[in-house]
Amino acid sequence: MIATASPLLWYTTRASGVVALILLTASVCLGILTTTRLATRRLPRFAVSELHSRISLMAMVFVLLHVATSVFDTYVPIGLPAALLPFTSGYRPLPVALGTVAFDLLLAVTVASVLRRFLKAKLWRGIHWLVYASWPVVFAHGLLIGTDLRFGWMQMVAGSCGAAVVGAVAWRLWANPYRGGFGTADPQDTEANPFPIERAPMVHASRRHGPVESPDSVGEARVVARYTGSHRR
Amino acid sequence: MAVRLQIDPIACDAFGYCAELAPELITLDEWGYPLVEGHLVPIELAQDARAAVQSCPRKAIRFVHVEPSSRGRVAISGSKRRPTRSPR
Amino acid sequence: MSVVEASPAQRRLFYGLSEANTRSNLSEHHRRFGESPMPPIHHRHRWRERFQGELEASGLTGRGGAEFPVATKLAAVRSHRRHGVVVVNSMEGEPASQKDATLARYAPHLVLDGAELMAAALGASRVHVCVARDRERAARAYEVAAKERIHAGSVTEFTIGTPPAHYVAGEESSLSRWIDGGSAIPTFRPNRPSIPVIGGRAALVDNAETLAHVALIARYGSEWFRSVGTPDSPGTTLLTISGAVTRPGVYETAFGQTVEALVGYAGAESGGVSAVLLGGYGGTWLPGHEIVTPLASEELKKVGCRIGPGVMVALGSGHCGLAETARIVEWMATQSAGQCGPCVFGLPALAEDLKAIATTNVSPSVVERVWSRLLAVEGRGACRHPDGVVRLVRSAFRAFSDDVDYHLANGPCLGARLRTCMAGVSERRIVQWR
Repeated sequence: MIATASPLLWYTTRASGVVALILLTASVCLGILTTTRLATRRLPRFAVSELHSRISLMAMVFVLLHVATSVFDTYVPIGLPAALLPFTSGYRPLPVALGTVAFDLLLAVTVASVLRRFLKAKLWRGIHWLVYASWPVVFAHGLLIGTDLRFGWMQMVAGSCGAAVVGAVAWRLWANPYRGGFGTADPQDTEANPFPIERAPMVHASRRHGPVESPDSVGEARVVARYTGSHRR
Repeated sequence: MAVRLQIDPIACDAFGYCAELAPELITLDEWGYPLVEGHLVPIELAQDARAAVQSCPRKAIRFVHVEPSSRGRVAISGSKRRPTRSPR
Repeated sequence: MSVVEASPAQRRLFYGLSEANTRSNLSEHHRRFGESPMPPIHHRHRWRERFQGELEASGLTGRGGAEFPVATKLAAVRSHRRHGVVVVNSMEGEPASQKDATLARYAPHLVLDGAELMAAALGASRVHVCVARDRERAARAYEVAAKERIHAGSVTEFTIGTPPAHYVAGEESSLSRWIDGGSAIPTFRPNRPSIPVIGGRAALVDNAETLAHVALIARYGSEWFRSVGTPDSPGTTLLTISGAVTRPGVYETAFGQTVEALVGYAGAESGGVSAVLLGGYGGTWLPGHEIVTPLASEELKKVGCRIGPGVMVALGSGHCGLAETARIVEWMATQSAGQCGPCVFGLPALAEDLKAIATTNVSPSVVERVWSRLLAVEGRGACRHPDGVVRLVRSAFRAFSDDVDYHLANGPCLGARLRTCMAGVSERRIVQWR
């Protein structure tokens, strides 16, 4: 077990942390880019997706390096349990705990993506959404524990990463060029329905989830009655 | 191995990776959704087809084995089960 | 309501109903048709084979629109190791159809008889009746009928469910998904024909009218059933006739009568009908000069039409078939389940184009675009909803080809500006078969 007080491990921890942050930021931005289905001639959509996967993997390499060096470095008392369990570190428990939580989430996402072929599409997608939770935790960890934040260049790096992710998320929510629209006909237009007799209030369908029951339909009691003539089965 | 490509239209979300990776087999309609003719996949395009199947983020495209004896079989299907049974 | 009496020996679905007598309770049902021919427990095996044989010999096909042979479906469900629910499909998502609601109101026991017989054939004891949520009277009628049967000693477990009243909710996979606790939208079933699965067991889903016919075939036999109608389309069927007619309503008729006669019976002059919509909103237009075609599937196939779920809407002579088709497609676009891109985007695009053709001046390129979009939409959904729309539009272009030329040359016709003539079925008229 390598446990030295050499400053090499300490510098590696800090450096790999910075690189991991940059790569994770790039990964999040590229991931958001895939949902917008953007592409260029040189970089078709599947290539954007592949780039996202590979940069994420590279980011995980640096995250692992960062975690490993911080655990094995005896300069600060971060033990092995702290890699996976939050609040077990002797050195600055809260900031390290944030890092631990982020690492756990990223591990889950990575394992799910590596085993993607064996998972149902919906399950994988649900796990993948954890990155939206993990990136802020990574950023908070960096802000609280960042030894290099006293330098201007590090502040610029952190600022650009934050701006990039915030900008990408805002773009996804409000200015996304890819929007699945739903048709032009107004469901309430009874002129369009020549048979307005005995029709239910129109159920309003959204793009991905099918008809949603309209508020004034009988929602709760879906089964009107159940009559059993016999207790024999 | 005689296979053809099949799209699950409910799962498909118009990412379009399949059409980029296997353009001789899959084209996109004007709304970005894939059009697959349903013919057998030729050997020389098998690798492209495999890449297309593996690249789909929604797993909406898959291989379907084409068997001559599959005619006349009634499949059982539900929301959770895959069509596997044949009448006894 | 008006009724035409038929000869008493012919006891078809509407037998015994009249203005004076609209009772639908169990005793009235027994008075009209006798007791249900349910087999005694120890003879069930032999009875099942005989029952299957009778259904096959009768040639009964499904009345829900797909026209699938009933005996084949029953055999397929029976062949699965775990089978056991009978679902009565009384959803009737077609707006122009009232036949299932009529059956629910006036002959629910016939339908439940058929359901219990099918359950006995499967060795099942559960019957699930699905009625659309907006048809409360029908749901209540089935409730009352089920209670009566339990009281009279039936051992079947009846459940009356009310899925949302949406066009695609009446599809078999929608119902099976809904009964299992999900939403009433179709699933992707690539291997057709396929059997829906409810609770891990193969389920038999049949239209309400189909089961009513089954109840009578079990009583009177397949030869009786085949004694009217045509050899390829035997028996009677319920038709909802509406549109430009003076007596809209639900009629029971034998196959083989010409469409012209049927529409005339419902009160339209033969010169006054320019086309007839057969099979509902997902059906086909029968051009005016072809309404002498007999109502039988093999005859209608020759002119590119289908009976579907027994819907006939007459188009008045002054009205524009293209405008009516555009209205229908616009509504059908709102009824998409929203799961498949080609349907979600393709149907509204078709609706826009058709509306433009019917009501504004357009260039022929729009018509070309419609044709190419039809190809892009057909067969690319999980269910047959977009296919029905494509079928309707194709038949509209065929039936109204002269109108299309006129519209392209001169702009919208006078008929396109009229309010729709496809009024709803406002009165229930019960008519015996003829």
